[in-house]
Amino acid sequence: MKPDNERLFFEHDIATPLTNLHGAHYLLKLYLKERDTEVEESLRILEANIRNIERMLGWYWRTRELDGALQPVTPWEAGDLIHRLATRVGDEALPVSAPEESTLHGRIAVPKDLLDVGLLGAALTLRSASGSSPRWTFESADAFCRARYELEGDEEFLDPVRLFRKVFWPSGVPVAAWVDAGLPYLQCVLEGFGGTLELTWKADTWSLEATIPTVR
Amino acid sequence: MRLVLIVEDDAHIRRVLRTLMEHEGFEVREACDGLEGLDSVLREEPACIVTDTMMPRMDGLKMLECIAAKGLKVPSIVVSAAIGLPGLQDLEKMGVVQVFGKPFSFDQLIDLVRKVVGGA
Repeated sequence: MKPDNERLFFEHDIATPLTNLHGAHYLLKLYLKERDTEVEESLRILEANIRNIERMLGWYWRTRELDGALQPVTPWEAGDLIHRLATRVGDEALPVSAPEESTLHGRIAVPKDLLDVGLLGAALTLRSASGSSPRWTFESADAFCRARYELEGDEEFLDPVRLFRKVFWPSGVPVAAWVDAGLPYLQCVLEGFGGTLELTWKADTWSLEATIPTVR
Repeated sequence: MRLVLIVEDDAHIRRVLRTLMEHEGFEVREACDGLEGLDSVLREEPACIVTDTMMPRMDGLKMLECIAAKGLKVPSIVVSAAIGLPGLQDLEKMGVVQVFGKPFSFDQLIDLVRKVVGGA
């Protein structure tokens, strides 16, 4: 498919039936005045899955769009990153713990919006995949800073292959803002600027480490 | 006046929007493209327009340009995939009060229509 047609497909053509599904769900809620438990459950399943399809298609396209389109921006202070993320966790009522306070050095040339969404998305993905909010910390080194998400669990607790494959991880706790990207999004953003994303397991702790290059 | 004009080429979206607006007590007219929408505006001057952008014959933005060029000011809400939309200032000149990306929240849309038309 030609790139322009592909864009129209994802950004326009799919949007119409998705809007209609949301609309049909809205009308069902309007018309079904007396709802027993079964009807409520059916409506809940319908709503959740409309949303899942919307997010899967949306994040597939947004992640795909990053390929070859990443350009460095004027470097900004790494020290601003944690505060910005914590603010978004609060303002957007995201069901994850904010990153812990830390001092970061250097400057980052990754576009803020892409990095923020990728990092918040990783926290939300781990929460959805595990059922609990990861401990989220940052540290600085010479030429990079690193975000680390940690979860306690045995070797079977997380499935790395699925985590790095799924562009969106369905959650029982819907997030209103478009920040619930799967790990492929953050991986794409980081690798586009020479960073890395690695998930490891050691001593009953899963650790996802996002390395973000910094400049002086 | 509590007349809302829905300009949308997708029959299902028109149906849902009509039902919602009527449920809220608004009078509704429908148009399936910009030309029909323009004709309806010139005949009835609605209190609010809810319009799609990409439609056959005349798109929603062209319709709003024509309405503005005729000196009419009708507050308009654009529901669109937001591809190739002009800047905010140009949209404001066309009377656009807000753009909703598809798929959008029907709750938010109806809230805004209430506000624009003056409460329901």
